[in-house]
Amino acid sequence: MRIACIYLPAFALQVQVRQAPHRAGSPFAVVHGPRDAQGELSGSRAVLVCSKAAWEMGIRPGMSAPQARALAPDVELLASDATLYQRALEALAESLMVHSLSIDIGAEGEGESQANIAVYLRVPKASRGDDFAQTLLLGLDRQGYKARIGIADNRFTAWAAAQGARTRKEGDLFAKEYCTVPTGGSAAFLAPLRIDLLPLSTDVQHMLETLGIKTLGNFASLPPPSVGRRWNAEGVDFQSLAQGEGPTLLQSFTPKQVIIESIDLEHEVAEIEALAFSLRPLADRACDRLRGRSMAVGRALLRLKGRDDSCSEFSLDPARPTADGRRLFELLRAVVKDQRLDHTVCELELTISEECDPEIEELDLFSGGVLDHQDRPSPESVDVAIARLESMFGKDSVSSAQLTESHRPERAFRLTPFAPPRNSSTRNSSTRKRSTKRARKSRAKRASATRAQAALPLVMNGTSGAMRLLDPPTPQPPGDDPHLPLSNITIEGIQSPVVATFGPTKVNTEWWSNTPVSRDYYEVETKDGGRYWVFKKTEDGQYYLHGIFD
Amino acid sequence: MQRLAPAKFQQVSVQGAMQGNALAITPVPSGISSLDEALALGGLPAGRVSEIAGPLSSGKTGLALGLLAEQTRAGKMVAIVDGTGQFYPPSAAAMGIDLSHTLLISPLLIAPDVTPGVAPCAKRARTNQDDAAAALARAAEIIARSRSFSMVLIDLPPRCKMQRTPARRLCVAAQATGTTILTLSTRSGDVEGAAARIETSPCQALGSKARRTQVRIAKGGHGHCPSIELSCKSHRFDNSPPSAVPDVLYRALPGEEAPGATAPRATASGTALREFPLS
Repeated sequence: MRIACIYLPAFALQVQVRQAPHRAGSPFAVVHGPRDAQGELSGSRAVLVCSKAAWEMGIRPGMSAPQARALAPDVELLASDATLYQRALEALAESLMVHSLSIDIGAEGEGESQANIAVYLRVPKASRGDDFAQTLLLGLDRQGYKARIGIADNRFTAWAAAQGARTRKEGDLFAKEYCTVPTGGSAAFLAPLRIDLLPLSTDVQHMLETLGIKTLGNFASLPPPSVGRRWNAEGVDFQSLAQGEGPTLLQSFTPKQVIIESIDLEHEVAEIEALAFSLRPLADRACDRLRGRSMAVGRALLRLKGRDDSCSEFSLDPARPTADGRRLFELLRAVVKDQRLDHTVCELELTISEECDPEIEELDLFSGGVLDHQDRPSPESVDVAIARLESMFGKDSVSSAQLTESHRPERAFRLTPFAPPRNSSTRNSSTRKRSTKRARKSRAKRASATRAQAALPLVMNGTSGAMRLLDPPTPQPPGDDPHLPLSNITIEGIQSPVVATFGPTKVNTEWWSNTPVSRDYYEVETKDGGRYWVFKKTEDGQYYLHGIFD
Repeated sequence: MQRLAPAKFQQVSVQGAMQGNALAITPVPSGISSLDEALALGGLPAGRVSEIAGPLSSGKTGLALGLLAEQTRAGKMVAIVDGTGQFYPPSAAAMGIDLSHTLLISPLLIAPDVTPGVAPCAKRARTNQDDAAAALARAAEIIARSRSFSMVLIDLPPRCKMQRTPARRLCVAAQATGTTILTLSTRSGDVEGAAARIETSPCQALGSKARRTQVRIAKGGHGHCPSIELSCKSHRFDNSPPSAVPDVLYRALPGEEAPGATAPRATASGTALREFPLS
């Protein structure tokens, strides 16, 4: 088994920069401990880690907060946030699940006390070490982290290899951010490395160096009984580490939390267009995590937070579930594009409120031609168009109609969110059992629609042409002769005499409910050739214009 | 000029087809043979804006829905931008439209003409209507730009004229994406730059259950195109001759006496009607 170690130096700093990208390159330090009630850092708190700019101003880890402030008044001191780091670590592990399912992030709360973090994962059997490391680095870069990677046969050697890899700097073309130890070569790789890589106490290290034991190879060649006598069982463990026989066990990680990604803005933003630049990393990070869970976005919520608890919320319901960062970004941009803000924005937060199974497109042999491409609608473009329309006119204005089983004309349909018809080449990645269940549900829905279609003629029996429905119905003034149906139709202030009447078709329904309906429907023709649909309420005999045949 | 326009279309179409030009205009058949024959291309021009205009209850909606139904039957997606709020899905389903392939956009755009406490202003009302037409055109443009819908129907509210700029943008979008855009309006010429213009007017059906609609190709037809008369029965338009015998109950206007009418009959609900023999 091969193990990869992802070493994240100054993890607390990286998380802060990821949260607020404008902090990159600025002098700031993370101080161990929360703020007091006044929002000030207490004097007993020490600097945990500092940025390079802060280091150049003289700030060092271990300094107290007042010392640091006295030395460099401009430096920004941030309180360490254990919850933030733990969430960031779990989010990172989720995004890594795309590459490997065995991930060890260590025990909860470990991240706060350590400035540097190491995450271990099992290398899949078929992958080559260098390629796998490069893939991991790409994924980490998308998540906003800088890391070094070591790949070896056990955890300790992988960690030591990650220490040996160099962080790529500007202009450093040949620096490798990863180091791969060949299979079975752990002992040979560790032998020349310094002994301070072992987690020994400082006193023990000094003593060993005095005795001439300066490398891991020297330490590994000591006879086990003598080491065992001096340091008991602990010493034997250290020796096995130095011999390249360290543990390979990984604790499993299971994602639990709801996916929430957020970014703080440097300045308050009032224009929606300016926010588009920050939406892309949010979408990418959320989709990386979803892919790690083998899920896709079913529903998402974007919050634009301002100061003084002002917040605007925009919900997103993609017609098709997606785990593609670019597509999610396009949808989010379309959702907010035509909106107007009544407050400034200083933080963006994206919550994946509903996850669902992703759709996988199966490529068939003869697809991909020019004509085929033209004929097949692109689900992405439909989603983006719908999101833009919803943003312009409101969510309720964009829909698809579905027939329902009702004899009351105004209730013979309902509006549902539009879902483009599925291509035959898309399938769901869920299990066969689940798909069978979905197919059954779909069949039931189709049967219901067919029944609704069959019920339609009862209401519109024998009517001719397309009809426009007036909702609410327009009352019509009574005619001259009370015994005859309507003598005139008044629409838009114009009165037309009725020349012919068809009907009545009686609709007597929902008598079991609080709102029973009893109407006599007539199709009437006016002198100018117009056809209208009117009904008479049987309770009071009042006529209403309900539709226009057009 | 109107006579030249169809010939110009034909020329472009033939030349384009011969050269394999992507800009060749292809016809979208309406499914009604007499209407297709009357149109110069043998159907409405694809990738262009076409206008169907006619007064209320003249049969224009049925004609447009029939065109949409043809598209959904071919498995294509269509969209309806309903500016009137009067679209009735069961009727569309009865016309043959597959509702699952139909996107419905129904924005309620026109603000009330009369604001409480403010005197009615004709100019403001007109501005509202112009804005509404522009918004409907914008919606149709977004749909067309997605390149996923083969036909978009814009139902303009009554007395609503689409201004030159939105109409021009719509034409460009239709041409660029190959989407056929239909507009429904009460007055002919409400949409500038339409490649085909069909005017409908109601025909007196004289009590017949089958409706008659007179269709005139004002633009995009053959040089001398007489008006054609379409019949609509059971939710479908066709060009069958009108039925000779009325099949309905008929109430004559004062002073008129319909042939074969019986004496007024009192129905169970107390309604007095003159009855005609049923066919």
